[in-house]
Amino acid sequence: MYRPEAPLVVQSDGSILLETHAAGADQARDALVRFAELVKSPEHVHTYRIGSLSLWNAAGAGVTVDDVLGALGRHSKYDLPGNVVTEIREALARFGRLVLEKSADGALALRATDDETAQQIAATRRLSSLLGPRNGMSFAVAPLHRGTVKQALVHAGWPVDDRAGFTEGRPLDIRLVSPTRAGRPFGLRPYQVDAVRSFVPGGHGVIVLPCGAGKTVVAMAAMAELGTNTLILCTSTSAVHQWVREIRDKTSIAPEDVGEYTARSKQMRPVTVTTYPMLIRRSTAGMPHLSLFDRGQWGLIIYDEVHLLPAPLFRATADLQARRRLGLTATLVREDGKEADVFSLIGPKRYDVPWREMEAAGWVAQARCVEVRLPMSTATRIAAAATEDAREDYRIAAENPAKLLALRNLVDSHANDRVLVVGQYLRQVQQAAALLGAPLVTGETPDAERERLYQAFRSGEERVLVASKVANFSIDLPDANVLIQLSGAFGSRQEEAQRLGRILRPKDRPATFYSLVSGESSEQRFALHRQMFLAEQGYRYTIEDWRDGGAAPADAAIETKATTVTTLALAEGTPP
Amino acid sequence: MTASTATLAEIDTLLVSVGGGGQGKRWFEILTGERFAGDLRKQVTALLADEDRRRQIVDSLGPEGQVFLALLVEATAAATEVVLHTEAIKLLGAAGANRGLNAVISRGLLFRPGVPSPYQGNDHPRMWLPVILSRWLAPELRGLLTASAPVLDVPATEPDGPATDPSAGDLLVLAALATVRPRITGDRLYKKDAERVAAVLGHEPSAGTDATLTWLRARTLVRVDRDDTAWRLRPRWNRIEAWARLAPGVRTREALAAHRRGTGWDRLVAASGGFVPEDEVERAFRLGTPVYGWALRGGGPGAILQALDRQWQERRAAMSSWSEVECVELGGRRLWRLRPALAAALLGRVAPTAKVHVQSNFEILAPRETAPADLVMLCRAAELRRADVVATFVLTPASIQRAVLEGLAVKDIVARLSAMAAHDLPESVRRSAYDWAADAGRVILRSVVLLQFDDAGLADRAVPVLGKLCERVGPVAFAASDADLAEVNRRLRLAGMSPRQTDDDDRSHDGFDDYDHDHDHDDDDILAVAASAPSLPLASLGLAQPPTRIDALRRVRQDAARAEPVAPRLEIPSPRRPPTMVTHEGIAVVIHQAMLMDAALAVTLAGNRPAVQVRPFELSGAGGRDVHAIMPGGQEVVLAMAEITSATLLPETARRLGHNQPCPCGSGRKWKSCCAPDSRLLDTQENPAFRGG
Repeated sequence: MYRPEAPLVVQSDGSILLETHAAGADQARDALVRFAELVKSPEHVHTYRIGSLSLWNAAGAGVTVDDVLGALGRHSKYDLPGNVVTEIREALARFGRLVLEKSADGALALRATDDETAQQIAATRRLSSLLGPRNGMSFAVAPLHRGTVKQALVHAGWPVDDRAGFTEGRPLDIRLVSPTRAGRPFGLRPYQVDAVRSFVPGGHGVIVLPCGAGKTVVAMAAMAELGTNTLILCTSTSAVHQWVREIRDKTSIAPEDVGEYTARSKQMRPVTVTTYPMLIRRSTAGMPHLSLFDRGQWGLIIYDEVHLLPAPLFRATADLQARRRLGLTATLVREDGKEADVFSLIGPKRYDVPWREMEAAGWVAQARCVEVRLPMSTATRIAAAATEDAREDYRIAAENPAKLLALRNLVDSHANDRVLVVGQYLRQVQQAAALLGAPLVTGETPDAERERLYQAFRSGEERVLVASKVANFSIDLPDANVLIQLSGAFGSRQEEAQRLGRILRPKDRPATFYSLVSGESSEQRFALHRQMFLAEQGYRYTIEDWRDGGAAPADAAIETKATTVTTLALAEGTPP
Repeated sequence: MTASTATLAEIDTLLVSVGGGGQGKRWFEILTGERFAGDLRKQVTALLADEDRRRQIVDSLGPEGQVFLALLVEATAAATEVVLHTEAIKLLGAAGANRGLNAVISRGLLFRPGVPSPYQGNDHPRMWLPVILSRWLAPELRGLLTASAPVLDVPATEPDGPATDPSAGDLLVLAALATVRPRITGDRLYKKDAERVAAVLGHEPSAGTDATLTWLRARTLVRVDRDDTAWRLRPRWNRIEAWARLAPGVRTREALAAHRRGTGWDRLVAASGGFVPEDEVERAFRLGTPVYGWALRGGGPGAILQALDRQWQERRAAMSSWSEVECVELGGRRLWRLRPALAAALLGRVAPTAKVHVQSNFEILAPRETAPADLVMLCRAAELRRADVVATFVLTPASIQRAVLEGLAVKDIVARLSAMAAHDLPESVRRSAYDWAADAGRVILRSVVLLQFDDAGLADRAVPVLGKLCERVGPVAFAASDADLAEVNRRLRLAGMSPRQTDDDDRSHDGFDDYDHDHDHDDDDILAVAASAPSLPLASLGLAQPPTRIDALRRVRQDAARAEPVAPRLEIPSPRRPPTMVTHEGIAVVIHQAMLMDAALAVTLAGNRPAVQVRPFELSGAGGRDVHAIMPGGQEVVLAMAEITSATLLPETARRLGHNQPCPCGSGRKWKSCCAPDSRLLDTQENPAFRGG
């Protein structure tokens, strides 16, 4: 069988290629997302993957073998590979054969549906220390081991249908309000409604939404739906403030019922927002703040930027299986490759829309991505070549003084836009800030000052803001529509994605993302790596050579100019 | 024919008589007849053991007779029966026939009988022809036979032996032919067909036609007309129409499967063009390979396993040379598949036209229906990451640079990608391809010879000597290309800086050896002439500002007409001393042995007789060698020796020549019996003219 017009190609490793331009691609995709994970979505052919986890998640949602094979067969160009069919059958056949239940007296039990399964479970060595003695078809499970058992079972190839339910937290009266307290109209977008609906019945899971798509709103809607005490974990104090501000603005909850648990103030309120670093901060007594999980009678725990969940929190999360858990992220990619751990602990992916589609629907801004290639002066090039340290080599290229020239040109050319400038290196952002006469936010900037600067930027008082890598996560700069990346962290893909997310909130002006890269350098290689991820999200980069006033600048000219600029910048700027 | 043994003379006559064309039937009779038994075989063996006699016979035989004889000799040398055909085996009826057959087959002399063949039931003697010709067969004959005889082309390592079935490679061509010319009505094919076949087979367009023709010739499918414009299918393939009909259909598949059954081939066919891991091919091979009697006799299961192991190794080696399959290495695994053209033909897809997807994450997705030529290009320009029904390639800097270094132009790569892509090429891909290609080959790894001088002064002096041959890479160091080593060495020696090479560099030894070999002299042959007399018209040779190639002799002659006779004093440094640079009016002249003659000639022409008696001798144009002289500033003067019609030879030169060495005049005779002067004149110690001042 060969149907050239069909959109799907199922390959023998379980990967599925979807030709987006083929007729019927939309139906095929709708069928596919139920049981396959989207791996990447470049412009023409998207890649999905079928795996045990994705199939089990689907089975949990009621998808059957016939649904899966039928959908694949209907849309596939070629015959399905035999091994894939077999694997799908086997994976789905395993689902539902193990059930985690809570008995009347409150004890947890893992029950097998048939004797053969029970025998296999009993014979699995890594489970023996976690499970109680076999009793007919059941094994006792200590509540403490609920997460660990599930993790170990998944590693052993057994999905668990967790019907043990969740501990109900203390009820909380919380609703979304419209208009917001600040007086702006507010309502859930259709996909946000879908996301909440897909999460609430399961009670745990991850929602993947692009930056700017309103993940905070989805979280608040989930809180309103569940109506219970909530603990929110995010990445930084700035993000904490943003959460608190948003919740106070868009929900009916009394402002004093929202608290922040940070180094500055340790408030315990029905809705408490804290940071990952706070929780894993060590003292002589281990990690004292971990006890936060056990206080407050949380009915819901929200993990913001869940792909950044620190490894020390894995264990704590495993112990929290009795609580409802919601993970929020824009990307499934972790540079350490521990995606599977994170998502098996928090829960399955519940909702995912490719960025490109959100963009096409107008929910996030259309972004133009431009890599600006800059020449390196001979002196810089030699300096980079002379070093034997790869990091130093990269740094020299990343700090190419010519970038400051280009930066000024770019900022000048966006005279009416809100421009955010971010860089990896402190000295560089200091120079940039001095050069542009713009305020600077770094890790050193006190939180109060940061808030003030953000506010000034938000209100339009400051048109340009320069930030170090603290800007990577969750500082909410709703009005930025141009982002200029002076330098990035080597090959970190999620960093670039996050930065692009800064400008994806829809606004009147077109969003532009500039990445300044020194040509013919190690930086160019790393930049390529970072852009790969965005390309796989469907973004196309254009590459532009930077020309100073129309002509490619001569070496010497750059040198002189860059030196002047740098000197000026340092003379005017804040001393390092 | 009588039943008794034939006489030696009779055999002789017979053998000679079979030299005529179309006498095959008679060979057959000889071999199958009762006469060829017992003593006769011994007689033939004895006859053929005599080399001169054999040569005589061979010379008197025509090509086919020689082939027969070759077969005969192989058979007799092995002291086994000659078994040529099932019928022949029956006729011979001798014990051990099978053993003989196996021996012949194992030596690659014969294909295996019992396989259905186009000639089944036809006892045509050409059945015998697929032999590996005897080692004493005349090379030209061997070439003739290889080129024209219908020798079946089957890898010798194939365990199932040569077969009369078309090889899969033949089928590939036929399938390709069928693809480009679905209705071949005649047996003539034209160059445009070759081009199309080349395209289907994935040959590069430029070299494709020739490569395909060569390949087809090697496959003995076609004979190319003398004017090279049309091929004629060999009679063996005159059923091309049938193949053309069959190629996309079921019978071809069956034929292929039957042909390769039990060899893993059917596994590849079953994958219908998809990649199959090598271990699966191996498993299919092992399961399907018949266990031969010799392996059973050889000692049971262990031996069989060993034999299978060995056969698999051989098979795998053979497979990598098959043009109908291809192998890729992917993540340390080897994967095999049918060439897409063949697979396409087998599966009934005549026109592989699917477009590939080039995406901005540098991935290229090529479906199974991609044109083979495109796939070949992708293999060259991109890395294959995954080979399934859709092959996933990734463009990387390394892959682009490799392709560029292999001679693909990046603009061609980009153009081909654009042409084969279903959508516009992403800007970043196009741009990056150019960026990456620009870096290809910017660093050249060259083997160079490093010349290290003792001090900078010496190095300075070497600058004009070495000229553009070397590049100075430091105060005391020069680098020269390996290829120039001999010349560098020569110049340095001429300049009196006899280099020594370090022991750690074998190449330099080679270089020196080449040098000595090429120039056929050693440094003792190099002498310098110091002309201290101002009247010696060396300056007038135009050496002060030498043109690239001066007509030195003509000028010398002109100068000689005007010059005043002055007694020259030729100063010959001790031949034991290395030749040094000598100066005359500030001009350094280093003179090569041959130049020495020239110098002497100049002196002679200038009207100054050398103080020694010299014998003029002829230098023929062909035997002469150009003379090089290195001037200050590194310019090189070339004196055409061809123009020298007569020259004088200084005795000192003669002294340095071995008496038994070839004479430098190029006559080919020994020096002593050609131009060597009277031996008494060679004693310079007694000749006051050489003491000089």
